[in-house]
Amino acid sequence: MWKELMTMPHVVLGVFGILAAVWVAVEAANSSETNQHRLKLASIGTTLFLWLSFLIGGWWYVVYYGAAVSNSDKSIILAGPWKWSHSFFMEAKEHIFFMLILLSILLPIVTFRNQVFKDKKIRNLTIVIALTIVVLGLGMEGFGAMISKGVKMSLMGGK
Amino acid sequence: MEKLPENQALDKCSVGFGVSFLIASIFNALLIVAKEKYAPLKDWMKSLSGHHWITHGIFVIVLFIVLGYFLSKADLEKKIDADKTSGMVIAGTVLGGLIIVGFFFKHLFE
Repeated sequence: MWKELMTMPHVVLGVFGILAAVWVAVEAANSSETNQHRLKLASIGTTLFLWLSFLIGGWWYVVYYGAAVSNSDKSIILAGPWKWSHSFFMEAKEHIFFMLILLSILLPIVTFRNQVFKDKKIRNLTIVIALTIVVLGLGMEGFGAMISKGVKMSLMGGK
Repeated sequence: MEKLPENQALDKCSVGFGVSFLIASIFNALLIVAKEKYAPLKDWMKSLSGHHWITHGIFVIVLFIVLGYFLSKADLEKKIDADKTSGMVIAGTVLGGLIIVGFFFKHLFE
């Protein structure tokens, strides 16, 4: 049961990271001297949620997903009709996620080391980083859904 | 929305790590191609941490941080403003993403 339950935090924390990044974009778009603490809080929240999602998902991926046993998700997918849900979606997802992690480090560097409300270009940079996290994050959610569906298709015999 | 001035220089670290993101993102994508095309590299990466993906992540994140640290010392903020840094973030994401998706694309037709 532990193994099955631990699939959830990766997804949930990833969603929280996306929502925090949306919050950053909104605070930056309306930035003023009074909302800088919220902007910083949201950017740190984005970093923490994405890193937790990354570490838990990475642990699950290494220990369970790709385990060299016949009932691992990877083995099940590769034995079924949607092999590409691993060979395309999982392969791409596990590496695109690194870009999200780099952006999650860059975001608080920009929000903590600059007065975002004082410059339009810096405000736009903050919004660009936050929205890039949102777009990539939503992509990761979609890719994850395709991987889960790949397992389901195998177990259903391709029906 | 309040009209903001455009006279604040972007902090050195933000520029350094912005440039570093572009480079690390492309490195991330090219390392995939290299390790998938050259099995000894993948085996060597696996031997370092027990899993090639863990080593891959360590390489990319360490490169980003080390490069960002040194680029932050390089006075790049005189040449690169926040708009150019935004362009680098977008370029790094698009290029890195396209290389990764493009490389694995053929598997969609298996």
